[in-house]
Amino acid sequence: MIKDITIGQYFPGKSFIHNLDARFKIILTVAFLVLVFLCKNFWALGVVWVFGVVIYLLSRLPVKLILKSFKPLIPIILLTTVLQLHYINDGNVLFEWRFILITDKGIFTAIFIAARILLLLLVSSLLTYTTAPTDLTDAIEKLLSPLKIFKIEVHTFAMMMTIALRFIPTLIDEIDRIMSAQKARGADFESGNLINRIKALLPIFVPLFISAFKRAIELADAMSCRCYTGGDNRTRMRQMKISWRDIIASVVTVLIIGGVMALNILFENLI
Amino acid sequence: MSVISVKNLIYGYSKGTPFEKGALKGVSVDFRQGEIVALIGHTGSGKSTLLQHLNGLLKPDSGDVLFEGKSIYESKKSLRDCRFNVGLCFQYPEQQLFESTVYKDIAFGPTNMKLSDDEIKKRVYDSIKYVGLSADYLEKSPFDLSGGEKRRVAIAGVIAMEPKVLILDEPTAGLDPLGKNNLLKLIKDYNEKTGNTVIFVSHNMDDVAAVAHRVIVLSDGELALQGTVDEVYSQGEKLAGLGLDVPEITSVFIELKKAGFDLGDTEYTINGAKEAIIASLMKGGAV
Repeated sequence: MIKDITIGQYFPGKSFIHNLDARFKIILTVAFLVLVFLCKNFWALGVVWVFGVVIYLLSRLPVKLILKSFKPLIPIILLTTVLQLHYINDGNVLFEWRFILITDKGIFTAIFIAARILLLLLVSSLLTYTTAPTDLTDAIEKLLSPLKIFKIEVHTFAMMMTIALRFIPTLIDEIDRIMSAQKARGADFESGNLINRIKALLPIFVPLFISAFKRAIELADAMSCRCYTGGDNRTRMRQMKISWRDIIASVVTVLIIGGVMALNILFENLI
Repeated sequence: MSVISVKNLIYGYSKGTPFEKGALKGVSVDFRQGEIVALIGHTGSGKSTLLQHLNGLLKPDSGDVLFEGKSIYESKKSLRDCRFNVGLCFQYPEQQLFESTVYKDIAFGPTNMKLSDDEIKKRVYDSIKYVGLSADYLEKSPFDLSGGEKRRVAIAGVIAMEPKVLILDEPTAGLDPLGKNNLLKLIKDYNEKTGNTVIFVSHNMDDVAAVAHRVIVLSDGELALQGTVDEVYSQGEKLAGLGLDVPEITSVFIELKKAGFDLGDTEYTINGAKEAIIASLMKGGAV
């Protein structure tokens, strides 16, 4: 059910990817996303795909589970593919019926875009799959710390993110529990028209909001009881260190960016 | 006659993930018409998981749940019928309240059953009486009530569906002694007046002794012991091995017997024990 969605979840592990410094992982993920957009033909995209698959293999995540969690995204990818097919009208016409016009270039572009979206989703979810939420927020805080000169409270922001991430699984459990309780009273979430289905959510959301507010108040009390003030002078229990892994990962990424640019120049561009 | 029977139930959580764990490892058990059954076992023994199979909220990996002889997983309809016939009240049920008035909240279940307005009204009034609150409460907001009152309203919401089997997951958790006693009395009354089966989970062996006809002990996803209160509680050592205690008064009783007092059968309630001790003392001529 709702627990099958694993995107955003953290899978503990000890792989090469897990052990990368979180700051590097964020920067390299961003670089990878840019890389996906840099690709202008199938050769370049192919190389990036291979790179992506290799990273996944390195992370040693359970493949079956990853595939399962991408199942709900298939309709979105299909929809964009179909729209692409429809809107690209140049190239050789393969099929024409009333307003539907399909060209070979349309098909190629559609496949290209679908491959691109899938890769974007895979790589961006890898970041949260392999990085503990606390490491992630620590890294974001470090990366955003230059913003302090604009008087932005980076620490508070990072704390808010940590708390939000921390409570996602708790809230999911809570939704599960409330849904079960209402189902036991005969609530039906799966049938009826749109309005009925939205109405059926009310018995879940009211108790959920009440308990979320309660939790927030309790947490705030607990934090002030321990004299939490936040601010700049807090030290960390775990210091982040750059290791040989981070250097290797960065070098490989830079090389692949170079490779993709070369392939873009060498071959005919699709987009 | 058995109302619900569970056949060789196996269920695991989070299959295929690093968080996988088995919750039920082949449990078979019968619940008979008109009895009060207590389900005990320490945290993580699979009690709540078992309960959620009894009304089809969870689907077992293998095994079956039969309601009045028919599998509840047969069709969508059999599953829905089972939801209404087996009323499950979760732990801390007060957290499921959502409506603007107590009346509407109790009416949620009966409304889902598509009953007539008159019938719903009758059931709401009946069930609020059952849980020992006056009809004045019906127009209040459930969020203005005290914790114990909220819990009773939530239980009324399940009772209003008039289930043939009422299941309560730790109904007394977090209640004060008075609230606890009221709730145990409610369980007994409901069972006696309607003749319906009641199944409840408890950590408190005194509570169990006070109301249950039969006790089922789960341990690590398996059935460890079952039988009448006498049969189960007389195996004090085995219970201790499962991380459970016999009621305090019972351990006092057993020690007294060891010390040579002629007390007859072992007692599990304070009143019973008092009678037995007085009787024994009278017999011995001490008083």
